[in-house]
Amino acid sequence: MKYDVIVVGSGSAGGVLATRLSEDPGRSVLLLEAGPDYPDFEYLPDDLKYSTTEAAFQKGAAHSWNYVGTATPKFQEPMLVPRAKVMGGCSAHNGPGPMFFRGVPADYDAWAAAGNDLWSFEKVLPYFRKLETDEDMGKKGIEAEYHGSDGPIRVHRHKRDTWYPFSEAFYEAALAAGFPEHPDVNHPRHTGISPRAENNVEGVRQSTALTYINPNRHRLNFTIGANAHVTRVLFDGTRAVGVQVESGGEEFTVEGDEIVLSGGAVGSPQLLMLSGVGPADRLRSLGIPVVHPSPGVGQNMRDHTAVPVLLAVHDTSQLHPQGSRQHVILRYTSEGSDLADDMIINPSNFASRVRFGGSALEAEGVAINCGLYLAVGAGELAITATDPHTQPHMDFKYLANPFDIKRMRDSVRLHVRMAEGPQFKSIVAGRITPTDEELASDAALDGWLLRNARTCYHVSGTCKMGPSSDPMAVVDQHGRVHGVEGLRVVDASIMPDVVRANTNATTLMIGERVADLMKGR
Amino acid sequence: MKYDVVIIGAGSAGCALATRLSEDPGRSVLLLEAGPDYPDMEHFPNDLKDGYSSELASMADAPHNWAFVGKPTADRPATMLAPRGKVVGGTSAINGQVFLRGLPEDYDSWAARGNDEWGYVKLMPYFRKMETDQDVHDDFHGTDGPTTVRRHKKETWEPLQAAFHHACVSAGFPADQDMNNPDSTGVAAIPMNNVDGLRISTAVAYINPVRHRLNLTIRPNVLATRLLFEGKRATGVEVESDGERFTVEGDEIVLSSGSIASPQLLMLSGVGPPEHLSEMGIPVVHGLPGVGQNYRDHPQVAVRFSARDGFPMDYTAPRSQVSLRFTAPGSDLRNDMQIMANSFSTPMGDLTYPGEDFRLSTVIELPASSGEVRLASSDPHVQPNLVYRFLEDPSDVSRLREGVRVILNLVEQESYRNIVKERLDPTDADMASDEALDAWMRRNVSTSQHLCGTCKMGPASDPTAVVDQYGRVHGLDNLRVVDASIMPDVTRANTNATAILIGERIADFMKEGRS
Repeated sequence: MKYDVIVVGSGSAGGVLATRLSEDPGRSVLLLEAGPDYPDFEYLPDDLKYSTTEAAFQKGAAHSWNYVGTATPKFQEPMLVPRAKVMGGCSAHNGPGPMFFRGVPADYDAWAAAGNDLWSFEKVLPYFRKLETDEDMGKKGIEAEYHGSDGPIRVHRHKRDTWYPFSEAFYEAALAAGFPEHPDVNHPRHTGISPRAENNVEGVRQSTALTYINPNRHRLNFTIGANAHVTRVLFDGTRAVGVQVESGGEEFTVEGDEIVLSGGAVGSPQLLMLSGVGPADRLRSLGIPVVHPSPGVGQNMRDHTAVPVLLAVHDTSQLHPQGSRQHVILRYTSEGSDLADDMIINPSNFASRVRFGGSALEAEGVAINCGLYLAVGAGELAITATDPHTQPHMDFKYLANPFDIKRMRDSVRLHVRMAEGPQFKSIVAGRITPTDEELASDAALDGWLLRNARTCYHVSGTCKMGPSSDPMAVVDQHGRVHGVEGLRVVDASIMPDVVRANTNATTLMIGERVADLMKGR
Repeated sequence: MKYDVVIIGAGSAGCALATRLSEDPGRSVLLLEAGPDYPDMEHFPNDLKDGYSSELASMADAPHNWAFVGKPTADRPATMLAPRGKVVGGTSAINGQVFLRGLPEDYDSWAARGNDEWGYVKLMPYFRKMETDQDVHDDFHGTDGPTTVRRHKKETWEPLQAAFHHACVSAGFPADQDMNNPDSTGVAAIPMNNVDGLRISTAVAYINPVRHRLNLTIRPNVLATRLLFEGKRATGVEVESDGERFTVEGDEIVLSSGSIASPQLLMLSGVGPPEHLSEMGIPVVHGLPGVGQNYRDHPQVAVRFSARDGFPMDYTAPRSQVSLRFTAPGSDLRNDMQIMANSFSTPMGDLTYPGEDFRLSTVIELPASSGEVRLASSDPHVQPNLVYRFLEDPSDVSRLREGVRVILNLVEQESYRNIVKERLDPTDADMASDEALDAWMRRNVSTSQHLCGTCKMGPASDPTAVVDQYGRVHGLDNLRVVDASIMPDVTRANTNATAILIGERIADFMKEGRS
């Protein structure tokens, strides 16, 4: 059994890539997914439909790999790193909303400047347009040139009259603080306070499973294997020729002319290393024969980290765990930063007790989540065992860089002040964290930050793309793994740096972009 | 996209074949099915799951039924329902779950006609391999096969089943324990592939446990419309899937579409009686006069009764639990007749007779008459003409007449005394003479839904043989038919078990490289 292309992982990039490649009935595509598949929408579990259910982000979640990682040296216990294990990958599991947010043009232009000229904003914009139907902007005059009107993913913004009071108060407070307003977070010149763009339809998350894969399951050249865990890429010399797969407790080998890893920023570098492509010393110490030494695999682990300014409310009956949690978003540049739009603030109408050991549906208050969206520091990922079932070690090293922690400190102070403004008087009863004590000094606040900084679930960069002249580049700008043949990585791991936005939209774009590259466009 | 084997049709034979062939992880198998697939038992539709549902899965408006119609006799219109399953599991997913083997003589007669691999003794390992018989543990039964088989225990028989059994015994028929024993005759509990009400289709028994195989690809909702040939070699299949057309290639193509669709697809692809193909405007790839001929079934008529007032009727009970087989007087064909006693009467394709409470049906298990399947159109969406020609042979008429008379004798027995209120049909007038009864039978004869024979196997020396005994289509390369259509004649038994057997048997031929 030999397929033209085997795509390993059906997530944001893999779901898009496999679907687009199978548009040509002459190309046989096998899409392998370690998690289950729900081809019938009628039986799609609620945790995959709705981003406000408890399941997705909690320990032991049904459709999660349930990875843990190290956030900072002071973080109390291993931090949960949710990565979805289901058809559609993290696009079937993300949220709340889920937010549909492009990076800023400078993000992509920086990739291009690093030797990936096919990835400038100008070059990727057609793919952002192709993948979406923006119900607000897609046909709106001048905005339409930046937006799509017939792509698989439907995007909309919360209308102002549907915002909850806390969202409304934050919007007004941001304006009062001097931030500009902008109707479209996905506009190339976006900055300031805006309604969030979300990819849900009547609350149902528009995953790649629903939008790309389901409408094309009938294609005879498109084969989907669910509950199939790829454990190794098989090489003939330095040519990738197939994959080894665990399925139903048995082991299978499948061959492909081309193998594409879309296992995500955790799964893809893990699989590369298990298969002999990665830092040579690490592989040798585990007894893995080195197919090709690639020191960058697992390095450059990027993410966004955030902390909540957590607020108690006067009327807890207004806290709706199943309601839409976030309506507006603030993007701004940290004072003194030369990285424009490096901060993203998500005010949330519902903060759960999850971080206090409670349930994700148990109300604590409301929150202003302050996020650092372009960190200087990076983390790393490495395998510690040859067993593919052992998760890789992940050290995120949040806020280890002085400039990174300074920007977070400033952001927290700014939003603590903002929350004391008149806009919130009728809603907010008081601040829960950080406490006055924790705010008393920079050192105290840094301690609080390091104890509380956690992932925004935007893991990326672990197989970064770049020219072969960059020894840390893992793939070229076509996603082809340097040093071997017949093998690509196509997912968020190839981002040279994380984008200044939630990563799902960009990961979908990567799938669209590389599909066209593979089609010779 | 090229598979080692492409199987068209996920029915009794196709599922068994696909499962067995994919046991070798090095062989890629594509299983195509026109109907839907329900991999998750949690969401398995009730019509497929509940084998004793009074809403029969084989009714005309049932959701997984092709619901073909056919012409029973020359005088009657082509409106008789011919249920065929349209779902992964095929007709094994909608049938009555009788798991009855043919007689040794059935298979031995196939062997005598040039199919020496199909003698009863040679098939015995496959009968054992395919089943787990929960009741009988002897040399004739399997203990670890995919299909679980059991019989209703005497203490669980419905009143009408118990009465029938008593009546058969008091009328002089022997009582037997195992209808799948080669020497069995008389009245006995029916072996059924139903466990706790669940119909054990080939989807449940064969496919579900092996869905994880990456070398087995199952594609539901795909209609095969044409076989593709290069010269005399089959190379692939043209299919429709959600309104789009695709081509899939295979080193070997296997038709397991059943006795209606397998000959239909052959003929649509240019393999069949040349003059018929020409008349349909289909270019002839290979002339094979036997395609669609030798259409076999079990004709039956029902004798209908009303029950005495207050007699309990349970419409959720198993429809049949015991059955009688006997040899028609004067016949040299052992067990050529069967009588089924229903626990109750509900519509099955046709309307219930007014006032009817229950019925006894008599079946010719080995009729002499046969019909034909002919294309009605070159459009694959149009069902072929099904011409049954029931009761054309005088021996069929006389035997069915005997069957009716046996039923009338049975209901005269003591056990029915407090049950039967009135015989509704045939009436006394219908029973007045042989001629009157024959006319009644011709008006009422119907299918037992055991269609077979339309691509019969036999040696190349038999001009009407379509496939050889390995299922290979005569005169063509890389093409087989593996389903009930290759039976040279119908078995003296419900056909599902034999159709599964055919899948099991040819899987081994293919594994041994008989191609």
